[in-house]
Amino acid sequence: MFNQKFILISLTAIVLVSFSFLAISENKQHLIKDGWFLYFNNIEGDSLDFTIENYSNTSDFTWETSVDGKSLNKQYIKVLKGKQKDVRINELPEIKGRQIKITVYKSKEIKEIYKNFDK
Amino acid sequence: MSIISELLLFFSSLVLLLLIPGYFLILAIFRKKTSKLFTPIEILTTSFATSFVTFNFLLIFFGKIGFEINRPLILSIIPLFALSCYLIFKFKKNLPRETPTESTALPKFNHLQGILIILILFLTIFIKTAYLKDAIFPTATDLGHHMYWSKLIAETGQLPDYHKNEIVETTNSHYQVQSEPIADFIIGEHLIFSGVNILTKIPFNSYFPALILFSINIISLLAMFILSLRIFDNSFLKNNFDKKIINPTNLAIITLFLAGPLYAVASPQSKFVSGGVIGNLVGNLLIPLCLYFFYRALKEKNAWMLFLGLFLSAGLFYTHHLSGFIFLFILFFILIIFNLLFIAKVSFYGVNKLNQLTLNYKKLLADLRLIFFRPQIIAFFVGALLFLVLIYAPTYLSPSATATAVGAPSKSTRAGLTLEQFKYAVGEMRLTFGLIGIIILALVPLLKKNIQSRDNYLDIIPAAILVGWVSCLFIMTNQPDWLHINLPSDRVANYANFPFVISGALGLLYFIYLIKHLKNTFFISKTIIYLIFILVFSMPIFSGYYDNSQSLSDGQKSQKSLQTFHLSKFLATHLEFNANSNVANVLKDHNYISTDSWMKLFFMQDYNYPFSRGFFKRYEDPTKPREMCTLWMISEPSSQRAKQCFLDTQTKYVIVDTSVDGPQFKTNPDFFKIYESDSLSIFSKK
Repeated sequence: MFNQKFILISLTAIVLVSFSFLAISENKQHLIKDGWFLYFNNIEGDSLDFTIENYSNTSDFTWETSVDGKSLNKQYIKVLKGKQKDVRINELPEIKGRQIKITVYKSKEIKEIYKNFDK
Repeated sequence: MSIISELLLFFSSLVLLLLIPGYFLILAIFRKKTSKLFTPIEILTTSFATSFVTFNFLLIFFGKIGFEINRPLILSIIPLFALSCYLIFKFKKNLPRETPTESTALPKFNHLQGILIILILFLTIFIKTAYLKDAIFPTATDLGHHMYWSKLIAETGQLPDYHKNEIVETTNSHYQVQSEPIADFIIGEHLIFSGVNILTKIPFNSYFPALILFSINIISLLAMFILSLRIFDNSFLKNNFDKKIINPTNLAIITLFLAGPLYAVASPQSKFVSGGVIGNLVGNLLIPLCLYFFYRALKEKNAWMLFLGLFLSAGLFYTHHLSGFIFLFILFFILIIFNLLFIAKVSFYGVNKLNQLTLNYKKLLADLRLIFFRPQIIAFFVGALLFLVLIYAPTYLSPSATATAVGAPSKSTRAGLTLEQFKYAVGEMRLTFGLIGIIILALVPLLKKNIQSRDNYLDIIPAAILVGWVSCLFIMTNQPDWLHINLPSDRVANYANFPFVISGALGLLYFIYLIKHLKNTFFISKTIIYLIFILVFSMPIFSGYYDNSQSLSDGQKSQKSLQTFHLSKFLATHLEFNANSNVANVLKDHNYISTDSWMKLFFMQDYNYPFSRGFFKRYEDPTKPREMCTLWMISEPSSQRAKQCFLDTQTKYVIVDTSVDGPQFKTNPDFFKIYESDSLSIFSKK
């Protein structure tokens, strides 16, 4: 007769291997493999400081500030893969009643964030 | 924490929570007889299920009487419970001999059967693992909803109050947010996940919820296996068929084959694991085991078996209302079929039919009295009643929740499936052989002619269980209006797989038996018949595997979900959640955002935080009118009615897919855009 404990031992081994494989596989999927993110550091208030977070292979970015659609400033910035960079916006003209937009270019991709200020 | 340490902790927590309490409970109940009453596979399966239920009841009890649900509590109550059970096992005298009893010889497997079982289990887990590799990443909507409650328990240390914020229309097109009770969630679905998280600190948006569900799914297959092993261990089979082919061990192995590797991925198997359909998976574990214990209680006249069956039934009702509801119907149908078969059997052979029928019922009632009127059963019912009244009652025990399940079908999805749809829900092969098995089961007990069988109602019980189980789910799925029930028909159909699998095993084995006993005829040889059989048999097997292969996804859904997680983490860290302040509400879209149901786990403010624009068809459902604010605030934010909604509900942040719903916010000067990823944006209202 077959010792049924062998069935349990085999089942335990199969389950351990399967679960470990799935856990490790799922764990690896938590890495962002591509793409980039743009956001204000302070979502309330007047601050226009922003962050670029990069997970793509290209690390060359250009950011531009504009007021009511009129470009004020355009600069190159390098953000390595897996890194993020904060950008401080210090000098701006009168912002009341205007829309201040931050546009970031990476190759042909464009992302923008903006704040509209009351008069 | 490294993944290896995480895994070690995870496996340890599974053993502690899902094996130890149940194993020691069974040991305390049956003591020295445990190894004589149960095979090792039965001990594993029943320990897992009783652990699940025991852990739930212990946590509900201690949580309700004021203990904080945390690591010290769990690490105290489980070992203490196990120790108490062990002391009973060690020092209490052995169980008295139950009278009268049938032979309870343990089922044995030969080497070939043992190896076959291992191979089937390997194949089953291999196919499921291959599917889950790309589906284990937490993206499922249902799982996200459930994990909110599990995380709430783990974070607060309290049993949750199942409420959510709803937008309701007041007078004159004004709206307000108010808290409403939820009847859809039941505590038993959430505690095990909280327990594992509390012990291991592995985040909820990880592999561990799906792996717990996977383990429940594997054990539910073993539950089918042991039910089949016991239910076919009956004299009516032994006396009517070739024992070399049609015997309980072969039938159990075929059951495992039909339940395991075939359709291993389709609902209610791995798809339910990755989809987080917790209630159905637990239902498919506990329903077969309840029937297993009830059958053994009656067959072996063992009140403790009945006790365990009742205990698991109580666990079922504290875990999933749909499964509990269906289980009641199954029991009701089994009772009806049993009586029909019983009367038919006596009428078929009895000389003095009325007299014999009365005598048989008297014998049955005497046996039932023997196992029901025992101290442990009475104690169980008293304890269960006190627990229900004084400690905790499931949320669905409210008139509104009951009303949603009873009555005429309210939607087309609840009006029943067609036979074609039912065939796909069960699986062609399982349905075909299942029907053959049902016919055999229903007819054989009636055709048996010896006197001994005529007086033994136990011969009918396996047939009554399977025919009742199958016919109940067939009618509930295809003709719900006959039973006056109002449940989603496709969800009910998922429960029909299991009884068809068991009866299908008999049908398939009987088919093999017929083929083996065929003789050469003048126009066709035995070899040709074998070949035709193999051809016919292989077609449905391939259809099962074809179904598996169709379900395998090519993965990479996770990258979209990671964007959702990134956004949620960003917004949650920037919003100040303070108990004393009014937090601005957030609204997101469910139609175009991946894994959006998991967002609430980052905020942990309310089940409905953020609010959600649901599927568009829901806003047009005439049977269930609902608030329109969530639709207007995203689809037409500039309209007057949307502005009123923003104002009344204090909604400040809107999360949308940039390309689909971004344009209407971009042209609206009332909104900032504060965040953009590859596909998602957050707009903030001024």
